[in-house]
Amino acid sequence: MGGNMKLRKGISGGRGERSGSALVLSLIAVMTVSVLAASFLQVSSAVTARQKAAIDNKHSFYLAEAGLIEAYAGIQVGKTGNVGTMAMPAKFGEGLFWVEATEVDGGLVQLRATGMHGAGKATLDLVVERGVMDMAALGVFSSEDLEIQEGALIDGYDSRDGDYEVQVEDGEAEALLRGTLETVTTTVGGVVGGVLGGGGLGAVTEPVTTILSPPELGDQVADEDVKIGMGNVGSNGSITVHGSDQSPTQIFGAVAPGPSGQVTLVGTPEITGDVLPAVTTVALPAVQLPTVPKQKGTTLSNGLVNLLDSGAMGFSYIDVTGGSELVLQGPSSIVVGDLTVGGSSQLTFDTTNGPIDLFVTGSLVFDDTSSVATSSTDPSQVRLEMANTGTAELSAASQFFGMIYAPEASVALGAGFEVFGAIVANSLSLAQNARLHFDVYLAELALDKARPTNLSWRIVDFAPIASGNGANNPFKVLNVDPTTLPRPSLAHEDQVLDLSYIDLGGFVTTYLGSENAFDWKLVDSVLGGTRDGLSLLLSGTNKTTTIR
Amino acid sequence: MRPRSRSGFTLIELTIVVALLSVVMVKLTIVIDQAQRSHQNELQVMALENRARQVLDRVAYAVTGAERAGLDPGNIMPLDQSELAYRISLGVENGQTVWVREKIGLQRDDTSMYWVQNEAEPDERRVTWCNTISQLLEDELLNGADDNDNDIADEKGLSFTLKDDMIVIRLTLQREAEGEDPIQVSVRTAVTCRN
Repeated sequence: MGGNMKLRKGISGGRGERSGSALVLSLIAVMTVSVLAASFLQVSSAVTARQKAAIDNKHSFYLAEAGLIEAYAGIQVGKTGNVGTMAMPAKFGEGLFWVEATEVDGGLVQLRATGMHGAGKATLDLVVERGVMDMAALGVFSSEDLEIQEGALIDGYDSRDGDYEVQVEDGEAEALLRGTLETVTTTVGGVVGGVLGGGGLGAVTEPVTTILSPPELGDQVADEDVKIGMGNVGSNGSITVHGSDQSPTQIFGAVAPGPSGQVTLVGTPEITGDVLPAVTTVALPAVQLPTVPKQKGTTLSNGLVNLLDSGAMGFSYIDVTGGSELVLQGPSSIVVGDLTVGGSSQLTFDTTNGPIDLFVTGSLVFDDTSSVATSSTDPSQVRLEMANTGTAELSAASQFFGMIYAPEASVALGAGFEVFGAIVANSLSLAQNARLHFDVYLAELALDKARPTNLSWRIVDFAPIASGNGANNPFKVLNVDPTTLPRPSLAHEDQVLDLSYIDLGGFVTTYLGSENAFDWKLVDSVLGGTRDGLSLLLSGTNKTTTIR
Repeated sequence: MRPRSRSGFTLIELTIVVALLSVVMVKLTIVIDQAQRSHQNELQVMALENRARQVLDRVAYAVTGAERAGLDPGNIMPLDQSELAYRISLGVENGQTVWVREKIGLQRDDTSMYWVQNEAEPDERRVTWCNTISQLLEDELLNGADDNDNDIADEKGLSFTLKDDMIVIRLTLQREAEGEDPIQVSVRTAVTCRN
């Protein structure tokens, strides 16, 4: 009996043992699958890590490019090109960058940008050549005091929009509708530029000399004081404008004397723009003469049409007389000592095949029997530059489409010599009834030339960050706190800003101090200023230049 | 009389168990084998994709630094090219940019991509960047027709085309798989010359 009990127990115990074997098998199967899954996961992680490294490198590359763009934009507006430092980089998204700028001989700047994201790090190099502002943007400008005689007409137009006559008709009508500057005596603290009346002249019975004081801090600029035309007139000295009922003078633009100059109105000239002085003087760079093969001088008096082939050449003098015509064919770069066109002769600039640059190193005379012609009405095609001190007498009865630049010379413009383009001289003398029309297209071209030119872009390095603690976090690698890092636009190297501007309330305001501490959102328009001593604007007449 | 012992299994039970176990093991083996093959395949595809991306990035970075005006051929639209000669900048010296000529193309039956600097010069440097290039771009057949709807016919495994100022780079890598169809992976990118 006891043995059977035992046996039954054994039988019972055996069934219990056998019912567990299915669980064991299941466990083995599950463990096998788990081990396989774990190994698959490990391999996938390794592949993902490699992919992430490539992505981090790419992000770093784009961050470095963003740094170069930021630095380039800074150079364009006169900054140094340094953006952030390794100790205080600029934060951009989940990465960072900094740019080191190094001045290289010849006006070049080397920008080296380093971008870091995740475990990636990229360094790019860009060498740019600083742009030079073309003085054509000044419009009508005289470095010395400028006197505008009665009957003068100075306005603006755009050669790309067709004929001047059609444009000016509409422009003048609009300008006269807005009102003209009446002749009143201004007082400091009053409305700068006088009271704007409603079209036409004020009730003045005799000529009045009016001296307009420069605006002072706190002066409010009237809303009407907005430039309609772009026929801006500027000077580093004072400007006197004559006008009368018999010979009205109309200036469709602003008149800007130098910082210590003043605007004097004699009679009743009409000025549609403001008369605020420039904040800084404008330095006119010397003319850069090209290197050309030199020839002897020549006198043309055969009464025929003489063609001068395109190319680069120099003459000690050219004298066109006796009813002759000299045709300069572009593209050309010509250097002449003395150039005289008289005796009913003509000088023609043929720019059909290219532009013409004519440099005069001595005297320039277009007498009142001569004429000057251009084959194109595009002023950007002809440049007449006077190097050295000298005199230019432009009395020919002609329409000249081009740019006249004489930074050291004196230019006397006769009434018959109508200029479409720009004229900038050390000393400018305008006869009665002078006609000057500034082509705003030249200003746009000048801005293009002012842009830095890229010379070389290259990838310097793709160096991964050294492994170790925090290797995937550039902020930890550089030991910087991301919450304290500036954004790119605020990371530029600080400079001393000396600024005169019109604030959002219309008041003339000034600022002198750190640019990084200045809030540009307070500025409605810039009157002028310097950044580390370098002028922000060419003249106070241009309020539309992008500074920042 | 002692009762007969009931421990153990009958022959039928054993036979059924063995049969069932065999079926389960076979299925398990098949599943594990398929999983392994699939995993291997996926690994190979991922590795090939990774490799394709690396090679494409390398080509893209090289071409990004190229001078647009100096590309040879300079006008490669609408036809594509499998070879691109260009020059990149080494920097500026005495106010002048210093250039060096490079070329990327195919060799060895169009299955190997090379990069060469200063070709045919004494200081020539030549590197094989990849030797698993497909002879034709993915889904493309050598029949004069655009089989893969990318507006190009019969393009090779490495293809450069010009679209406005951008260079479009297409790349197909191919790897043979034992007992399987070859694995192909295609990648593409577009870059703009910075110089």
